Amino acid sequence: MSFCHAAFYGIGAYSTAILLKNFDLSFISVLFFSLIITAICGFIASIFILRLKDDGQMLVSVAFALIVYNLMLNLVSLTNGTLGIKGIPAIEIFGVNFFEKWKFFLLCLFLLLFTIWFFRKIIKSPYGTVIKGIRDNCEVVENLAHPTSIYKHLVFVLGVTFAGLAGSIFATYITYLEPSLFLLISSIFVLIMAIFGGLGNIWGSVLGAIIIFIIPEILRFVGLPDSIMAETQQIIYGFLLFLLIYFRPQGVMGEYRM
Amino acid sequence: MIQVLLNGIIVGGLYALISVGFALIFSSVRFYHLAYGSLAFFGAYITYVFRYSVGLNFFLSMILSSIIFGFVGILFWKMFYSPLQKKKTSSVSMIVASFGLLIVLQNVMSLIFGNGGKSISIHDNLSQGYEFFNLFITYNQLVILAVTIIVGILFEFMMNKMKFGMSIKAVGQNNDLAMTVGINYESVMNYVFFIATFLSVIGASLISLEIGIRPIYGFHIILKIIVACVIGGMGKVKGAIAGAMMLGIIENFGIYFFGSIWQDTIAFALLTLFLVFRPKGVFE
Repeated sequence: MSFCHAAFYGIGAYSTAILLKNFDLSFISVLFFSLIITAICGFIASIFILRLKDDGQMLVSVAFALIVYNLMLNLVSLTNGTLGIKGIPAIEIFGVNFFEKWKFFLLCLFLLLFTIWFFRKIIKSPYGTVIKGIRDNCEVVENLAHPTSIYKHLVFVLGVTFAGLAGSIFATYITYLEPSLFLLISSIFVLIMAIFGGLGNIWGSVLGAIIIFIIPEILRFVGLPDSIMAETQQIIYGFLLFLLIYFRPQGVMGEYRM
Repeated sequence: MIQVLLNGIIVGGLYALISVGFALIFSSVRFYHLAYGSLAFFGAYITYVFRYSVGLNFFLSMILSSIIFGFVGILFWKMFYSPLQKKKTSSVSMIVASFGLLIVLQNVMSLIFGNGGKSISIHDNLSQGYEFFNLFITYNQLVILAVTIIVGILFEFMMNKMKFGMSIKAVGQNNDLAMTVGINYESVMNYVFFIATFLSVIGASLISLEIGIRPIYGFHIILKIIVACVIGGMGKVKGAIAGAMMLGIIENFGIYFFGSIWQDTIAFALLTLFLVFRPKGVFE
């Protein structure tokens, strides 16, 4: 359970933006470098986060997210502080520009399918079996002579690298970055999505994401005034989180009970 | 330098007032009541309402809203946490649920009072500061220090000399044993949540004298409190006070040496270091 996903999303986004703006590189190589940067940060974080269990783990991940946020805010020479980075160019791969919405949508869809395919592949593989085993009963897997600690680090780094990928794509989409985009609240979004759909289930996460993004549309449809929109939305998310824990801790289609 | 130390002690005292309640709750129910920080600042808003809309004296409004929120604290226990605990929810799930409540409270506050800051003062006109032995202290800080000390002494007296204080301690040390000697768990929980929320609202009202009130502060303060409690050792009331004092002093020295932008980074780095290398706190 980690609260710091948004931090890696932010690291991915920021490194893409900084590399794209300051160096004359193609998008593919920028993406490659920013994923490596995210993975390295993820590895450093995992050293601390994975040494702890339950509550402590959660707290350290929150602390990490806030430290990253503060760095984004205060390393002005690199990130331009609260002013943010403006004018990030659109993606260009082999001469195809993804500035237009429909092309961008296709790219995202492709990446989503790729991610789902990739994670399914992992889960179905022998590694996946070990990972599931670690989740369900760590001691048993350890007694079977699997290096559980290495597996945990690998899974963590892999997870945050995909968050970094999402971040890079996001940076080119909105063309403007500021630290508050990656505040804790976005981690909570991710968490609600994952819990809502069910932990330990890929399709659950997708379902959770869809539901979370439908809620604001419903509110708009009901005709709430814009001034109280954001607050009402968050109140609903908050209650949703509480009710989920109360009635269905394993989520809508999850396998893992918190 | 001594000036920095003094400021640190004042800030630490404020953290301590709020941390004590958090540690008290943690010691008796073993979960993180994250909504606690937002509840405290909701109380500070109500203090504001009493002070300016009703027109009462600052101290009277603070005590009134603390009492009201003491009952709100009990309500939170009865409505939200007690049912969850009866379902044997794990502590991680408790954190998530409590976080949901924090988000709800924070947004209810910004719906009612707006996102902008509100400021409270004791007197309508500005009062000047005092100087002792080259140390400078403002009137507000003096009040904060005095109230913190008075509340601290009262709290100690209550916990050690009165019956319900001792039963709270008993539940904290060994829940099952406490119940076998005839302590009523539910009523002890009521006391715990009342006292904790009462103290936190006093703390938050005093903080708002210095920095004003915003809905987001509830979230900021709960993070600081967790840092303080981890430094002092989670679930130990005395540890929480010591941890809060240390955090306040370290933060102020951090500001003195590195500038105020790194204040939060220092606090969270401390949290990480303590959790990883010394999870039981400084005093074991």
